[in-house]
Amino acid sequence: MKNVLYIACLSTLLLCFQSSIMAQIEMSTFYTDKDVVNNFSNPASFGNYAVTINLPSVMAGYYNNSFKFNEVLIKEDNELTLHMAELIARVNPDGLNFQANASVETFGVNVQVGDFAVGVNHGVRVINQTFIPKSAIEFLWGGNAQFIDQTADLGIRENLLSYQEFGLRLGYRFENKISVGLRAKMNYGMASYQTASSVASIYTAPEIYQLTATTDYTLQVGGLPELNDEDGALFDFEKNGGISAITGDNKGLAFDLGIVVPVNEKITLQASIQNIGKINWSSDSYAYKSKGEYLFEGLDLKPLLEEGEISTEQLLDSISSTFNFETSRSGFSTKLPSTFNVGAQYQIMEDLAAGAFIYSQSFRGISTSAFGVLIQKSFGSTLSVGTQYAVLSGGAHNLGFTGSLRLGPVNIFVNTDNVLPVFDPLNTQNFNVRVGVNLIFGNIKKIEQKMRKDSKGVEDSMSGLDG
Amino acid sequence: MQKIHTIILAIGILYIFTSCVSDLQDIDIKVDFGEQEFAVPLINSTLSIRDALDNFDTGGELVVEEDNFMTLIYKGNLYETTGIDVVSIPDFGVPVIDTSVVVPFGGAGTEMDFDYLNIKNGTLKVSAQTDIAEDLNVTLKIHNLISNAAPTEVTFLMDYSNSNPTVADISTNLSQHLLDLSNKEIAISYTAVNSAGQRFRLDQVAVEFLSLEPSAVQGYFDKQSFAQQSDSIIVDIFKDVSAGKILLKDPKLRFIVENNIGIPTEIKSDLFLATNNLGETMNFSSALDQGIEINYPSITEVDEIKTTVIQFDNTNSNVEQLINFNPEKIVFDMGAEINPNEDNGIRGVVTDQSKVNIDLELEMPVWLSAEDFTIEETSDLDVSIFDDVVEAEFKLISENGLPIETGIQLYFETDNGTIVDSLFNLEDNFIEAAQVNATGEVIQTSRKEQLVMMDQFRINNIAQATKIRMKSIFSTADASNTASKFYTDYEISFLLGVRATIKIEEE
Repeated sequence: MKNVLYIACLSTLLLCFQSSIMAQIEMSTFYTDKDVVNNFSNPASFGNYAVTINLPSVMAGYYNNSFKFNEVLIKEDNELTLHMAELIARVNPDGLNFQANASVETFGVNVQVGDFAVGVNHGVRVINQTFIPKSAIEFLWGGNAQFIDQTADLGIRENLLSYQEFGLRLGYRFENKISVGLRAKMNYGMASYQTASSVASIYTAPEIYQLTATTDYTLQVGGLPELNDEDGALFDFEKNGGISAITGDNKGLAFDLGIVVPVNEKITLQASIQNIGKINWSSDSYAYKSKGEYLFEGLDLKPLLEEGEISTEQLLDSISSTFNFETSRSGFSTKLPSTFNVGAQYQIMEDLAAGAFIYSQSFRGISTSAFGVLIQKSFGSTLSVGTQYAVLSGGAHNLGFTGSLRLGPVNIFVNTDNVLPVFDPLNTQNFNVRVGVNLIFGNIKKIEQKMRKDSKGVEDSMSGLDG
Repeated sequence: MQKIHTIILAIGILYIFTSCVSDLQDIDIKVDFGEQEFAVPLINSTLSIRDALDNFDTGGELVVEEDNFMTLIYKGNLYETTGIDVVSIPDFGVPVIDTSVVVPFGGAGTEMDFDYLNIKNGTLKVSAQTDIAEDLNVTLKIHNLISNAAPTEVTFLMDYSNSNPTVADISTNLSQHLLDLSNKEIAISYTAVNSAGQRFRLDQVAVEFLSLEPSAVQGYFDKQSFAQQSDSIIVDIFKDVSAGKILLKDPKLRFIVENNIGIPTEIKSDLFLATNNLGETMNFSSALDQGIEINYPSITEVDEIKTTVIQFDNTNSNVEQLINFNPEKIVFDMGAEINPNEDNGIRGVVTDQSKVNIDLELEMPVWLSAEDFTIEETSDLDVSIFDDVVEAEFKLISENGLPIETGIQLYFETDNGTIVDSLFNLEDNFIEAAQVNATGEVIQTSRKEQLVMMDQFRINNIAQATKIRMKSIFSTADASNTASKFYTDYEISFLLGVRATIKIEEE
């Protein structure tokens, strides 16, 4: 238990070094029943079954760093009113981060033979991350008068990444029971939309409120048709074939690494790093860049004198040229959202375990960290449930739940990092859930017990013969 | 049995999950729209006097001297008449009682006291009659009717048709003919010859000049007046004046007369007055009502145009009082008179190109003093821009480089002229004139900053308005003592911004 406390303290310190915690994450797979999807987050994890076939499982999640819905949505009868003033007040001073992810494991097979483990998997990932500076929300909702003699940052960042993953997992357990694992993944990019630079601001001068707009804004889009700004359609599907096919030219390698260290019979430490790699976008990849500065000081009366009216065309042209995006075909690469997990588990009793973990994820310059403690309880071999309490450094408190129901070889599981929204859906700023089914065959313990029994029987019979 | 319990437990958990989530179904979400406050610049303009005068419809021309001092000149055509209108040629005839006659014609005291008559159009009619019973070839020559540098001859046949008398009527076009009357006579002769070459005298021969239109006439022209023509000139800069005065120093009124009527001529005006927009009038006092002689080309200068410039200033007229009356319109009758002194010793020339043209130039050096000079102009107003405005605060910064104090007021009015609100407190809204030196030149600009708050009450008032009336009041620095000079590079800057609170509602 001392070790657990030590790990917990260490984890807390590590958490404090994280500069910001802002993304939606999935923590529970790391410590869930290792016969379920544990090796998703740690390729070094060895389960209890010789063969695991992962049937489709789906994870969907949402996270924002600033508010719970019930803090900004007031319910009256069957109507919810969004109180923008309250929302703005609660938005983090650094801005509002919003992330919505989805991950589908379409199929996977893992086989353990002795101290070796090998597996293949296929999955589809969709990661959407939006950052809105607080001043942008204040500006757009309340107008610019609150920013007189100030520069309002309007640099909204939007990052969308969608790709397919084909993985090959290899695991090895050393004689001392320490196991290591590697998952090599060939990722095929489906679509990417990322904000490479996001300078967009408006300065309101105090004299007569002259406005200076500045942009240095670059969007990189890959795997999608060229953006069509001529006839108002978002994408020009006629010029391009649409979203990339199942596999294509936009691809890249990535790796997961893991280690599991059984300290003794009670304590197990494990760590993993996921998604070390990137996707290179070379097909249907575009850069949209806007860079300029426009000063609007007010209308000049001279055209009124010369032509009898003031034309807004010139003004609009100037504004348009300031915010005009120049398009170029340009390849780029997208780093995958890399994740670091470290945790410890203490086996209190045979069917009861407790643990602690640290989670950290980084994507597009935004880091997400969490620290949590957990407890797992098995009810025979049929039902296993667990819960964890995790603190995100943005201040969000999460009470998670994991559960798996085993009916013969069919294993149904559900994991969530935050179960409270299930009972009070508006009382959350973070929610995710993974549900799925896998098939498990060949209980290794039973096989080993049988082998030991058979071996003992042979020994007994041999000794009987001897006797 | 334990497995059954755990399955029931799992199903129970799933049930709780689904039932809680279903609570969110059928819920509408709306937004509590509130107010936005925007701060935007509206006007940021620096106007020089050149900008304004180049583009304002003053109707005048701006003349800028090297030192940028300006003079505004209004020009207008007052009068134009054609000289040939004073010449009228009656039809006349000459009896030819023998084969050669010389008939006295024209001269002093007659209506045809001409020396030469260039004929542009007209008809020569020759009539002849004889009882001679055979065909005769007749050639009639008018010795002082010249065509192609030779006397004019008319040839015709007296065609005998077995009955008497034999008659001939011949008409000839006299275009491009010159009738030389310098000897005050017309000489005509003819021959009538039969086929054997024998000459005869005809019983009757007559020559008539009909419908003569001259292209040029030289001779004596009696005193004669051209009809007076009425017209007016609008002085735009004064048309919207509602009060106050602008006093201009040293204005001038010039008549520029171009004349190529080769006869002594004078121009004359029986009526020349100014009206202001209050309906008041002031007569122009000058020698014009007595008639003023103008230059004219001599007989040897037929194609030349003689120009006469007649200038009126404060030494020979009341033009300064007239302009400082700030007229919006100058009304006049203008005419001309030839040979006003009836000098019958003067021979003159008039052609069909001769005319008298009078242009007027009203020269106003922009060197003035103004005292509460007020201009008002009313326009339609669309108040829908205020629909969602809760309140607004206008910020006006003006920097005045003009030697003129300006007060601007905007009145919001209903259709029947009721004022429902005004934008400024006019008494506090004067933009001070730039400082001038003793010679009226600007030495220091002035700056003023003011805030105008419009709350919901005032905006509700303005929402009733359909028209906006702009009232501008101008006074020069030390108006009573110093006239200020205006140069084209004088500038005035207006910077106007607004902070407006807008009500946002769900559409």
